[in-house]
Amino acid sequence: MTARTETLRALPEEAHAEELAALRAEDRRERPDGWALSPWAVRLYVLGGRTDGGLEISPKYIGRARVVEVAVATLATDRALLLLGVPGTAKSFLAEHLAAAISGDSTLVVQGTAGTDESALRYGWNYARLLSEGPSTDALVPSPVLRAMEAGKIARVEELTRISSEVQDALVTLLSEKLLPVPELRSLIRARRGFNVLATANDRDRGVNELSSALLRRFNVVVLPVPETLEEEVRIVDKRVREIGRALALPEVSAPLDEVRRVVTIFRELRGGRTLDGKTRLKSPTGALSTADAISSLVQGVTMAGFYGDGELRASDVAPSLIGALVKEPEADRLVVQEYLQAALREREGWRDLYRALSDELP
Amino acid sequence: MSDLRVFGVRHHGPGSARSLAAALDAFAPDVLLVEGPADCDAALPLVAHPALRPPVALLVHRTDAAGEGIYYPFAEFSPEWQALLHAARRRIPARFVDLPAGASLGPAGRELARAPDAAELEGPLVRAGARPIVDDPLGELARAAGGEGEDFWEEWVERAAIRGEPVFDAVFEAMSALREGEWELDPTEARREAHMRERVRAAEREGFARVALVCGAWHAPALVRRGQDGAPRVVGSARSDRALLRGLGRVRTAWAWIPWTHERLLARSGYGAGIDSPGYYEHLFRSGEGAAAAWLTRAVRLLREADLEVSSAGAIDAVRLADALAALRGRRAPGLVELREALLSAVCGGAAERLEVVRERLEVGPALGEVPAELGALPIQRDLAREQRRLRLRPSPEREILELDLRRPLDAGRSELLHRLALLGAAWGELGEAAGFGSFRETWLLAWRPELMLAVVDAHPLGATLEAAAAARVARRARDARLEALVDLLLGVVRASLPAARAPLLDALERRSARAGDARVLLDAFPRLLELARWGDARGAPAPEVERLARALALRASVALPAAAVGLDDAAAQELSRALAGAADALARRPDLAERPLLEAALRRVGASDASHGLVRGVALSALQRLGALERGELAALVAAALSPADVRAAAALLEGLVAPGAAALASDEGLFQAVDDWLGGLGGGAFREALPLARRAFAGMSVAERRAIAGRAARGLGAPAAELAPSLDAARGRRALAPIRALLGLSEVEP
Repeated sequence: MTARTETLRALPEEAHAEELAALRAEDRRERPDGWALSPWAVRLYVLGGRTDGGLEISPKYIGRARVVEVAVATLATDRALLLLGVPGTAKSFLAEHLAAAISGDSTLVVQGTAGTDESALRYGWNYARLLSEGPSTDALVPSPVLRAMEAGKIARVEELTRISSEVQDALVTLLSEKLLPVPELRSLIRARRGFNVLATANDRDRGVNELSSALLRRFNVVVLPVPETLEEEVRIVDKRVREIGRALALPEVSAPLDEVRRVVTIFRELRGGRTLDGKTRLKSPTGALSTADAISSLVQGVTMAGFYGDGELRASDVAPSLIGALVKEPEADRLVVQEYLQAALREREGWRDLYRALSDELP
Repeated sequence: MSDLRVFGVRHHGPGSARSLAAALDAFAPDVLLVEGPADCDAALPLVAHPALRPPVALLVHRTDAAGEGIYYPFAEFSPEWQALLHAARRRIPARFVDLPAGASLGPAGRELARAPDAAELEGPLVRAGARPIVDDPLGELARAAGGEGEDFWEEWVERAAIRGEPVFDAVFEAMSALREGEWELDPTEARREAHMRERVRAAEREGFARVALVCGAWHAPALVRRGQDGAPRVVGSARSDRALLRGLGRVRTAWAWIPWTHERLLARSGYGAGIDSPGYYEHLFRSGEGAAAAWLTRAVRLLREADLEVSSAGAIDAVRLADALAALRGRRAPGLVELREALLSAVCGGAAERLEVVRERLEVGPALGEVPAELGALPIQRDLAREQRRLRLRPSPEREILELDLRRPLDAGRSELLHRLALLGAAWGELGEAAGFGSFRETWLLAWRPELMLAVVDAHPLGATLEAAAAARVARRARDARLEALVDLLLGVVRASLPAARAPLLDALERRSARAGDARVLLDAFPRLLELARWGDARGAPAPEVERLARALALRASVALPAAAVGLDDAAAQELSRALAGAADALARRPDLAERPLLEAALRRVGASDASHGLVRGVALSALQRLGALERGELAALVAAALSPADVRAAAALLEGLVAPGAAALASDEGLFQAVDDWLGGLGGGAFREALPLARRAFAGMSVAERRAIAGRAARGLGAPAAELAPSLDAARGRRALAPIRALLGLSEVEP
């Protein structure tokens, strides 16, 4: 287990430093220029398994191996990579680990918002120095992308579609030319080998800016799937809840796998519009009902149980946050959830406590 | 002692096909033995016919009883096809060595599956119901190597073979390992392999020096093994094999080459030896190494044709990604899986639905084989050719219009043929809808497509002639068709003059209509049957029987109608109204029908009930008016009662139904006009605003003249005499129009 630090959350390259070091020491396969590991080792780091030397590597991303392989291969061809998916499909998580494995550095990141401007993707100026010294390299404030170009590393752009279209366009020539002119200094910054851009975006949310076709052409797009099976999603949720619990130093709470399975079942049934046995049709609430929502409701449940309960996660601990996650639009969603409780959960064997707790919490 | 070589292949493996062709060139056999039905040897030399283009299938069918047959499909990339081409071009004898198809069809097939007397047999136990030692050899091998079925085989066998690696020995060993320890065999399988071994022995006895045997990889180790001296020998003893084959039945068969498609080579089409991506395999066969780049180029061009924005660099990006993926997965070159993923990610922006066109047009492919007419030997194909000659109809892919006058015997025959083909699902032409059933004219838009021959071939088990097959097809479809479909079939049968199909069809109609309770379906079918009865005599329809059926439908419809008009949504009401109007039209022409009063009573109930949907109610009322079932002033009274100011929507729908057949009633029936006027006038401000667009819609279907008549009527106010409806003529204005009309008609400039 990782030592507890003052930071809220460890970077992947810190948390998995041992694995990365071991992989690097053993890796004899060909590495693309500027890569810390070979593509094969990157794949192994992300998906987990055993090295040739017998070292056990923990899986980071649980899901289809093919998806990860396409992502790694894309970065190896030095084309930019765009990870696309609904919330909770582990886009940022995968991006972080890929950057950590390929460049040994996951910190060169632009967090996209509607307010992100060009200087966040290119460079800005330290105006005090600019005024006193005039344009100079020292007065220039490089963006994470620029720093990645200079260092030959992976630059991450989170939530690319939240950035306004005009600003997105700054990436177009940067990606095709792999260089950035700085007219004020009459110079040109050229990317070192190993530089690449790894963006994530969400194709389901409202208020996003479509990518221009010129920009889209410069990306290979990998769509991250929602977990295919109940068991897969349960594994992901369980793993993340534990990790977050440790990172937040929550009191030790036993969250039985059965409780996780019940919560994930509710999310999957409402998302899919029918019960898992396929017998009953259901309405879906307005929210995205992502895996991330399931994780955060469980984390809240664990917190409740830890601080106010008896150290064991019970239905009454999860119910409030669960209702909060399911009911996004008070009127419409309340009815949907009400119907779901009556039609699916009321008679379900062994679910009596959860049914009661949810009914009590429903506004 | 002859030199024997066995080549175990996958039935449609492109790599096996390429390397087999090369291996045969190198080995230069003087006889070629191929897994295939032994009663079709005569078909083999024809593969070199220049006009025979794969995909084709060899169809073996019974001649003593129609119906049964077995298809043996071949693609250009099938190893067997390449082997047969080799033999035909080198003029060496080629023979099929599997059991004759005649031994597995009909009663013979049942004998084949029976367990033999074990006394003289050696080798594995032959037991009815024995399961193969491995269910899915290909999947088993893939799993042992940690891969997935077809993808594994493609990577390790087919593409390795294309690179020129010696795969036959490796495949032979893998299959030997899978069949190691096999202790029991199903009788059919055991006899097939015994027969193949016997035919190999026969070739050796005949003194051929270099014998090449091409068979499914699974069978290879059961047929030939290396002996003590390392030379390949036939497995087992001839005595045991002969005992196994003794006393088998045999039915008489004939064969024909028929065109085939890639679609039908798919595993999911139900073909046992089917594959997933015939178009891709064809590509692999043709382009060999470097296939990946060529494939992606084709795919990108196709996507661009499908209006997807793809830059010219798209193919290059995809190639690089596919190569990187293959390297990451430890493969020497990208396979179909990598090619798909590369296209999806680098070209299609991750949107899987865009790849569907690649799947359909490239991975499967539109390929359709060709078989020259002289090789098309199925009885039904000969019948079609005969009919085409007799009726002087030449198949041509060009679209052409054919006008038929059914009073002329030649045209009547042509119409029959076209209708029969349509019933068989081989629609050579489209029938123009303009001509009604009573007309003696038919207009067809003809265009022959090669896949029509497939439908004809498919019909061959149903009969030896088009007439017999079409009748059998109709009888079969009649068994579980719905009422509407049955009426269509009956129309088709009468037009195609298939008297044999009539009785089962009328039977089915009788039974189905006794159970049908849906008023719309009944009302739909009623006028069509009535029309058939009316004109049918001239075209050989059993008019009295059809009329009896039509009347039974009317009776049932009159019972079902009132309830059916209640609780409809707007779309369902539209449909019911259409059927109702059609039925009323037909009824208007037949005042003599005994069921007429019953239907009128049903209409009256619909018209009088507030529960009926407004539209249906309006149509019912106007139908009653047309049928002359209403007293003077009765319509106005019914409409006045129905137009409630409370429910504006229902009232507007009623209005729409009422005027749907035309405005004449509204313009000329003083009482009706008044009822509508009263209703509109009596609406409050809010209700009026709500009614206005709805009422407008009700009148939207009318012609300008009709609307003008009603508007004129409204402008004059109530109580105005009807005579004033006639428009007054303005002679001066009319005269001004005469000159241009004369000029148009080319008349002389003579003043009137």
